[in-house]
Amino acid sequence: MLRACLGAAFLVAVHAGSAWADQDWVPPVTDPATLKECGECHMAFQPAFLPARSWDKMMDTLDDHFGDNASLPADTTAAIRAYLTANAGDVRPQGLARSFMAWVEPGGAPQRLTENPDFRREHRKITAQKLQRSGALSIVNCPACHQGADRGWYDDD
Amino acid sequence: MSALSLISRHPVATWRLWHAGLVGSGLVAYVTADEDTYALHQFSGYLFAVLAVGRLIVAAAPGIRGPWRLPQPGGKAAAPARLTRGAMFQRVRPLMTAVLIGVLLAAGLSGVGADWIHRLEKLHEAVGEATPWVVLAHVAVVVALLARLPQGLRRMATPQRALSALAAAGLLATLMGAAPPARAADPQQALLGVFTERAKAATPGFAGFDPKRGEALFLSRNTANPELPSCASCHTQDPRASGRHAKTGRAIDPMAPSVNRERFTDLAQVDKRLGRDCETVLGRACTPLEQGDFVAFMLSR
Repeated sequence: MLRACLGAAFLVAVHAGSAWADQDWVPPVTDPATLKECGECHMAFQPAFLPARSWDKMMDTLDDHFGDNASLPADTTAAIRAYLTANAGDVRPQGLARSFMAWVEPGGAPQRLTENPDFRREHRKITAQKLQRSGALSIVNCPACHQGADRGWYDDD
Repeated sequence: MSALSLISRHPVATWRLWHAGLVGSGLVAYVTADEDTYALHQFSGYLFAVLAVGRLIVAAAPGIRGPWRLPQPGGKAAAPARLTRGAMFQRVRPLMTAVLIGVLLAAGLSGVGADWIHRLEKLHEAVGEATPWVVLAHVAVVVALLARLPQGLRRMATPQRALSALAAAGLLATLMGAAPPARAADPQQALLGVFTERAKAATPGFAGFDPKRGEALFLSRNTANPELPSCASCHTQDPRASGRHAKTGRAIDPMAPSVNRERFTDLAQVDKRLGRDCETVLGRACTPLEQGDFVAFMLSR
């Protein structure tokens, strides 16, 4: 009986702990090609922030990537697409991915993770002036404020 | 000071342990001097530097004996009646010690320095390449003059013969050192060669690249993309400086190979970036002549 109680208490504690960690963590990017190619112009964002449909669309339109040409050789594109879709927020709903995916319309393929209501609520106080003044320059420059961003941690406020 | 008392109580055993540590860390550092294994290289390199400096500190301690004691400069060795191998070792030892201390210390400390100051990397690499030769020479001297020889060999190995063998080894080492090193040619120049071939094929009357034209292209302001009007928008006006992506804020390493020797070594990478960035900034592809001018400008910086 005592053992069952302790076990239950342990499970509750673990669950509470992971629920707390869920608020500010996503699985980090581990694929070298993704880290290199996506990380040349901006941080290699974790695939958990968008559903697989979004990543498919993004890898289809690299020649016009938010207005810039970001095209890659076909084999590199395929390898990165495979990694991103296999680890997308709807395929591996871990950590922050769950709250982000809750806002994605069924069948929708959003391209900017900064337009997710969860993201906007967290960053509602970050103005363009603040970004200029701090030297971060852009809202997509995660590591400027979140020191652990490349390891998947977004806990600093 | 318990370490020092341990050393003075067991000079030979502790020295052997130190020597094994130095050889081991040095070997690991030499073998892992690649980018893929940088963490291991760093760790073993620091260990190597600490062991090298530590050995000098121990040698300076008073009352240190045995192999830890360094030969005293200027100490007059009594001229031996007979030139034995042992006597020759005593004569060679100060020079050997000086060279070992100089090169090994330089290898370790330049590595530690390069970890903090980027400019020391070239020096560290050069010293690192010289180190195995110094170590091989050291091994040759020790084996030739100190190793216990089998009975039959001992009669044949007269000091005169050992001396001539040593001279021959020295000559050989000098010849090998003077021979053109079998390393790849400058990767940036090789890459420029590819661009030259392309420009020759595409440009009638091609008369070489002009870094000045490359600089003009780099600094030019264009209208295709108001957010990114120039190369300098992200890379700054000075290719030797660190840049920053004008749209995303992402830090960009310097482009000039003089400060970032990774640049312009990988043809696929250069083709990818030039292909994309010409489209993004100029709104069109760059000609082979423009690309070569650009590369020539970067290599001149």
